[in-house]
Amino acid sequence: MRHLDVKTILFLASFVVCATPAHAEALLDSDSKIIFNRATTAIEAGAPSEAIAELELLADRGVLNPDVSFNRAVAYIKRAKTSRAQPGDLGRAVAALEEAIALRPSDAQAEAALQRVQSELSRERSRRGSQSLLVRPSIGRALVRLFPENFWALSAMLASGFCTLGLLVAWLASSPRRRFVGKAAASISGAFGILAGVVIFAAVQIRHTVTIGVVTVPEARLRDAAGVPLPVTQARDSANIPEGARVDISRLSDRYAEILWGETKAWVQLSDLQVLPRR
Amino acid sequence: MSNAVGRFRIGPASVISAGHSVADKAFIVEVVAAGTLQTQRNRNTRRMPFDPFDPFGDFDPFSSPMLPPMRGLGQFAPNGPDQQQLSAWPHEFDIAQPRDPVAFLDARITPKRVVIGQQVTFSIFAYGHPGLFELSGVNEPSFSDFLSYDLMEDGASRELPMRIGEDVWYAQKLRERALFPLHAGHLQIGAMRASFRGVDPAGQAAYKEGMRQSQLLNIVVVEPPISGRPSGYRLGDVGQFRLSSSVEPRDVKAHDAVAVNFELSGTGNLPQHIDLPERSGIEWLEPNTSQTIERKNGKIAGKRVWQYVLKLHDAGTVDLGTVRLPYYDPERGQYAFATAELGQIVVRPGAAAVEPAIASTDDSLAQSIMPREQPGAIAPPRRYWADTPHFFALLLLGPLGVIAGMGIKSLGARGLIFWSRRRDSVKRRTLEQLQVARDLLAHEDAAGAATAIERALLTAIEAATGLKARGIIRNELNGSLIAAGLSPSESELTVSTLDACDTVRFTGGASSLLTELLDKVESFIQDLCRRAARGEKARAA
Repeated sequence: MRHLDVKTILFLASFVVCATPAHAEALLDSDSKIIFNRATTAIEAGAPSEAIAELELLADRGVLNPDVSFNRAVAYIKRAKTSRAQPGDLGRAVAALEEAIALRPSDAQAEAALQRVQSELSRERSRRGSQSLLVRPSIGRALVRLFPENFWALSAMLASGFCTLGLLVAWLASSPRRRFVGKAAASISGAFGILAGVVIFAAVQIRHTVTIGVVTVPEARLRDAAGVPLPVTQARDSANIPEGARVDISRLSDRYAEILWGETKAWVQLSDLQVLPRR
Repeated sequence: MSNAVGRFRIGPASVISAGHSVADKAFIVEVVAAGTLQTQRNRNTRRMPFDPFDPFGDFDPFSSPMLPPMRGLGQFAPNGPDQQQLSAWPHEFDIAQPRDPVAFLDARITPKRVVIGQQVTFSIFAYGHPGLFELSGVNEPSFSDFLSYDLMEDGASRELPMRIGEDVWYAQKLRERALFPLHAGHLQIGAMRASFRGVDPAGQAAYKEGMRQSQLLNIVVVEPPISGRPSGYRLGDVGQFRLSSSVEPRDVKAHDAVAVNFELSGTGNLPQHIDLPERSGIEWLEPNTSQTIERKNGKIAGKRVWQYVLKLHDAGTVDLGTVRLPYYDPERGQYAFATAELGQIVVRPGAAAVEPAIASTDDSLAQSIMPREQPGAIAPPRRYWADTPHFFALLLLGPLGVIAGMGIKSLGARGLIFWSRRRDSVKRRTLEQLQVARDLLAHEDAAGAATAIERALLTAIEAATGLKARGIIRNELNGSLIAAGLSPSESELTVSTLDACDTVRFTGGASSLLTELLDKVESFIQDLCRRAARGEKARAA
């Protein structure tokens, strides 16, 4: 156990993530390809708004492709730096990059761009004296998202195996010393297995019930279920969620979405969010 | 100050505070032509009982919806409106049958299924049967999911007599609004509530318990079709529009300003944005916008003007191209474009441009990040091991299997002990001997049966008392048994049974003797076995 440092855990986690079989899905159809090319040309010609119109049309048609999402993010980033910038452009860029990463988790360029856009949003907010994008998540969610879900699944399986082995030794060994070792191994691995099992169960529940959304307006107002804006209280130091923030969506109505942001649970207008595809 | 004749509705005023909307009542002001006030007032049944501005004019304390009109002064004869008045009511008042026998409010929408941004015409009518009425305590319906415009230029209309079937009713159009849905879904328009007051033509008070409410209305709002949707289309841009433009001047020096004006007109909810041509070397500054909204045949129409300043930084001939505003035309059920050709501008070399400031970090991001030329493949959905069927059961299988094995082994051992004890139990052995005795008696082997009975009895005595009776001479046996805890009668039964067995065994007595003896001693032996079991339990405890 002495050698099981953070690097080893991360390596193991990446192995778990990469161990899943990969089968690439189909590319764009010919119509979508034409629109994609038009948008790419428009970005290169310095016409990000035209590109956004084309790429949003693809999104309206239900086209899901990481490169379409990435180019949409590029168009929003470029427009945000022109005189024709629209409020929420960088938030939409964050949403598009999150979508690209969700569709292709190994997209390092999208990851890097996302970090830079979020840094830019944080800088802007700091300049204005507004709250940070970073919030403290609840302990349970922080634990669940500490490692990929398959890492916890593998941990639970290993713990189950060690627990079985320990119990067998404790049962069948003739020497008292071996029986003690068996009991100790079974107890430790059993406790860890229960923890991993609870975490994996919570992770599965969150994956099946929660959708990720990104705030695409300068500030999304927190509301109650009836849509009435919530005031700032001692427990809640802000009544808004900043642009580009990532939230967990647990319920949707016609106009509002119930979200969890950090430890804040409230409703926001659905139009303030872009809902990411579930993968 | 009014410059037109008619009835005008003012309000209702509303204010939003802490997310709650509070609205006042609307007020109706009627403006009549100059010099007609006297006549108008005589016709009008809705007036103040006492007018402080005309205290001695045409004050008629008996003429209001709450009081019957005096003969000759009122609008209608006591028996109701005449045939001429009943001949021409607007068709929009027509209704198949009343929703209430006395009074009701009727809300209507047209159409009931629309796309986002398409106009829905909402109207509310009031109907009263007993006579003229006025409404109070009006509670307006909410339109939170809609953009709302009033379509009634003159406020609420007059009550007019009309027929529903054969009955005479009075009807009034209260509201007519153009609503533009803001999002898709099953949207609801709330009810309007109002209280009816008035009298019937005979002068009797009518409309008791006159509070009524209109029905809730549901509208299905969908997105315009994806098929055929052009790029740049914004949800909500629905109607029929025309776009025109003007560009002045068309010959400028670099960095000079050019005025570009756009005028968008048409029916429907006027779009808020147009997509301008983007070229390198041109810069659109923030526009001035103005808007005019008007009612046109029950529809909202209008005009929106954008006044842009365009700066051209590169010398040469710049083709600004065409501005296209895509919109959805619900009447034709298809998308269309409002287009305006901007044409070319000749840009002559001008003063040197001011060098742009050094790009900041974020500007460098915008400059350095480049689009991807080719769309690649989508990674397959991530597979999760926890989605394997019975994953959690499989996790528990190993440890629980071992624990179950240990439990089964323990149970087996206990079972073996139990069966072993049971196999060696006194009761089982004595009952076996008694059964052997019966079998032997059935085969006329009296000696063997006597031996079996004796063995069963001695075994039971030993188990119950601990006394080994076989080694005690017969004369002392009685006393020993009593000393060991048997009662005298049991002791005598034991001795007599053993004697009888000896007799049969050694002298060849009749087997019938043993048959009677067996019945007698069997219950005694079972009693001894029970005592032995109780003793064993007591010792174990």
